[in-house]
Amino acid sequence: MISPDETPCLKVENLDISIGDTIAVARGINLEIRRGETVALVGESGSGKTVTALSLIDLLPPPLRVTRGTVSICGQKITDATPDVLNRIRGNRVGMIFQQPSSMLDPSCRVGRQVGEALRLHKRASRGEAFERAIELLREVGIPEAGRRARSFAHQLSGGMAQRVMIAAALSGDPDLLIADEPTTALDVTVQAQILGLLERERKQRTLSILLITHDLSIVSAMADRVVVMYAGSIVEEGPVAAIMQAPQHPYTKALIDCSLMRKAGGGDLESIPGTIPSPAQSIPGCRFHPRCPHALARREGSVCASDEPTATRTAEGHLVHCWAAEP
Amino acid sequence: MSSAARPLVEARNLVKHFPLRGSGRLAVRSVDGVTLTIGRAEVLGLVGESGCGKSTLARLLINQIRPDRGEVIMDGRDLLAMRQGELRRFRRTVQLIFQNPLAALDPRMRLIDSLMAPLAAHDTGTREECLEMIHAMLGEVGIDPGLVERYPGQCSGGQLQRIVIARALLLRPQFVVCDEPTSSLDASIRAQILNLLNDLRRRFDLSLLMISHDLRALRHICDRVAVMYLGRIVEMAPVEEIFQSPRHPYTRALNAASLLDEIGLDAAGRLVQGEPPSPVHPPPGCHFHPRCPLADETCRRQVPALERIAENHEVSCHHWRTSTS
Amino acid sequence: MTMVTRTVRWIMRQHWTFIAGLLSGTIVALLLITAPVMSLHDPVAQDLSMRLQGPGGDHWLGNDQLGRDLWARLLYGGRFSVVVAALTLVLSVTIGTLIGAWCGRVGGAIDEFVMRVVDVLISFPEIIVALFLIAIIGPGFGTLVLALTLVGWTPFARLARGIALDISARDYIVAAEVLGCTRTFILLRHVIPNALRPISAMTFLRFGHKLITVGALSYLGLGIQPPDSDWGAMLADARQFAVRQPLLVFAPGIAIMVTALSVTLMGQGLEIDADRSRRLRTGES
Repeated sequence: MISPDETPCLKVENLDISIGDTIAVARGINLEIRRGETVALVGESGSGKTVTALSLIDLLPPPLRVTRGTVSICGQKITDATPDVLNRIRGNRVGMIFQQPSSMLDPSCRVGRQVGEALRLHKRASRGEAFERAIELLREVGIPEAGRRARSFAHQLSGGMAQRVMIAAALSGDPDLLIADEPTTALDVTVQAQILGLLERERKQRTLSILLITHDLSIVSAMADRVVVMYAGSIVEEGPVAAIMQAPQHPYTKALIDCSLMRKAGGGDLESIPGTIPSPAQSIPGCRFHPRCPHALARREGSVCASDEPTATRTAEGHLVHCWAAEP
Repeated sequence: MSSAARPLVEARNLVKHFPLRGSGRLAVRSVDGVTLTIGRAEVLGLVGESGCGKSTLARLLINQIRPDRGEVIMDGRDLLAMRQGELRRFRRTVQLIFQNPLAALDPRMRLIDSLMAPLAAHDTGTREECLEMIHAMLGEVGIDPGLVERYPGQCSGGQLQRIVIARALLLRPQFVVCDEPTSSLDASIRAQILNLLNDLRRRFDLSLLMISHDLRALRHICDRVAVMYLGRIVEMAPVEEIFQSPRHPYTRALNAASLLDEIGLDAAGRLVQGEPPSPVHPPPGCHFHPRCPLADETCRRQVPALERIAENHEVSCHHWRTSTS
Repeated sequence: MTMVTRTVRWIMRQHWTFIAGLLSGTIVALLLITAPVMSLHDPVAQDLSMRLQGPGGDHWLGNDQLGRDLWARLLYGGRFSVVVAALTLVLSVTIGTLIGAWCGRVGGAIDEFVMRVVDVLISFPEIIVALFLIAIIGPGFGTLVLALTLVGWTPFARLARGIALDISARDYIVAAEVLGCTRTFILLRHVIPNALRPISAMTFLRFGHKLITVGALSYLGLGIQPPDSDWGAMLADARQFAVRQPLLVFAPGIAIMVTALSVTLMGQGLEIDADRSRRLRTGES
């Protein structure tokens, strides 16, 4: 059993991320992942989910930067950490996999060496040991003929194989937390289930915590324990996967689920959300979703939705909704 | 004159191989003998994974590239026999909508100029008449006329896709190929565009070919669906049959992959193994056999024919009776 | 008015190399244009009593071996050098871009043939071609422009062809084809406008090279003919007197350098901007 006072694997408090000093791309992010738990961070483009993920291991490309708040991994603070400490945490504590696996692999380096690189750096393994261990890891992530594959180059691998190699590399440092940024978006649909199945198996075997960043809600219910929904830089709702998928409280979550799963509205049309996703530079007072929100409260003249940012309401155990219309 | 019962688009035994440079006789066998028809005002879905040849097939149908073998009959006329002038007039009747609307618009042209260009190319009236037509069409696709003074980089993906759709429909085509029109868009915008396409196809009596890798996106809009694997069509049936009673194991795998939330990872993972092989060296026999849970010796040796198993339902599998369960 | 403010804003956004080049380039251009006002003396008026005088009085840079005012000769001489360089560049860019972009679009045997011709021409040094032509037609303004253009268009053709090939694969070209736009329309409205930015960057970068080639030819006595002069010819004339009056060599040398450098700096700034906007468009970081 997970005891409630155990140090969470990842803890993010009141995180703000901005472009320069003016344009906020994520604000007031609070996030907690316990050991062995999979949390899905869900949102459309511009929601701030990817910058949030990058900020967790201090990889924000300038001019993006964290302007407020703290990130701790396994109790160790990342914000303000020295480069030495950061390097030890990356690879040792945290692994990361990305959307485009083939572009994340060095084209001029054999994949076995790349997988073994973290071992050479962090575990001070010799070149031969690292290569042997890399082959083991490649076998573990389901690469057939791992010994031969370890000697091939990135361009000789298919998309699915390259993503398996990335997973092997991310796992080589034996991390506690794996950040997976849209890990299957660039892959073929029939390969997607295999890769997600692999992540799920590794999570169980290694009691790994996974932060799964995705826009695809159909994989969320198959993978996640908890779901965090972001819209235009803020968290709008978070809770256990069953609660979110079956009884979403925030109008945006509701609409997003209907859109993603292509549910029909009345009159034979698909459910959709009117309007467009705001860019981070657009300033919207009150709730960022209110101009597109179908809820009666948001549609009323002079409503609180248009003037004040909504506070969190607890609608059930572990289920938080940032909406003025939510009832506890 | 063609009879009313005749389908709008007929493709017979289309073959297109792209030779690989500097490798002798090797070629990417992109489209490898495809026969299909699209009726008037019918929407055919074409689903398959990347590299299965679905985009190549689409470009063959609109005569953007020429096939190595086979023929395309459009409205009773042989497309491949057309001469230059005739072909340009034919261009009006067939249009293409792209996956990434930002790439489909010249970054250096204002949207209004991009909309104006095709009308000017076909000498459609004076500038004022053209503007009037454009404004009417913008109303149809739900775009504020003020927006068209901008450049593509200043608009959102959803807005640009509406512009691309408007530009295609301005020429009043009969047949529109939509090459993954929503896969670069966010979920909330995707639904808007699918609704719009569905609405427009009724109002303009369009025949559509909807290409996608996601079966779920096709369910709402298509009448029939063709499933493509490594250059061949493996199953073709009315859309609900594809969802309710798919016969080809690959269709079942695609189905499961797009309904992960209902089926679950393990079940979906069991339906298909490995990854699509290279179209340069397709496996012998049934192309799908190395990944198929039902494969046996026959599948490894013999190419299954596309068999008509019910009204409007064709499948190319040696075991279609077994896979019903 | 908006045009002006927009241009000013655009300039302010550029890289510092562009602004620096623009400033010094503008100064040089203004000096050359206003040469009759800026120089107090006739550039060909000789005054042997003032032979090889240093700077002083109203002869700001002193006088040359025939007692002509150096400042005036510098301004008038620069006009010739810069005009030849600019004119050959404009011709080269126009011819090169049109031929290159057209080849990239049509492809096939025509493309293959033209590109082999380009390969052959590009392997001749400009100076050799110029020497050859001068030997046949005789020296002069026209010969110089013709000779430099004859080889000068080839790098632009190569660049334009590469860009045209790249642009041809873009969806908006496919879209234009499907929409039934004519080939000429696609070439003039889509391909060339999108190729202009990298081509203009290269134009600026080639300017310095042209200026130096013009100078070299005049230095060899194959450019402008006396009594008119340009920077290259001035350098050649001053050679014997370099020790007694070093300014005679330094002044035209520095003039060539400053002009070439300022235009090159502008080109570099433009290239940085082109690269930045390409990355913005394709979404790389």
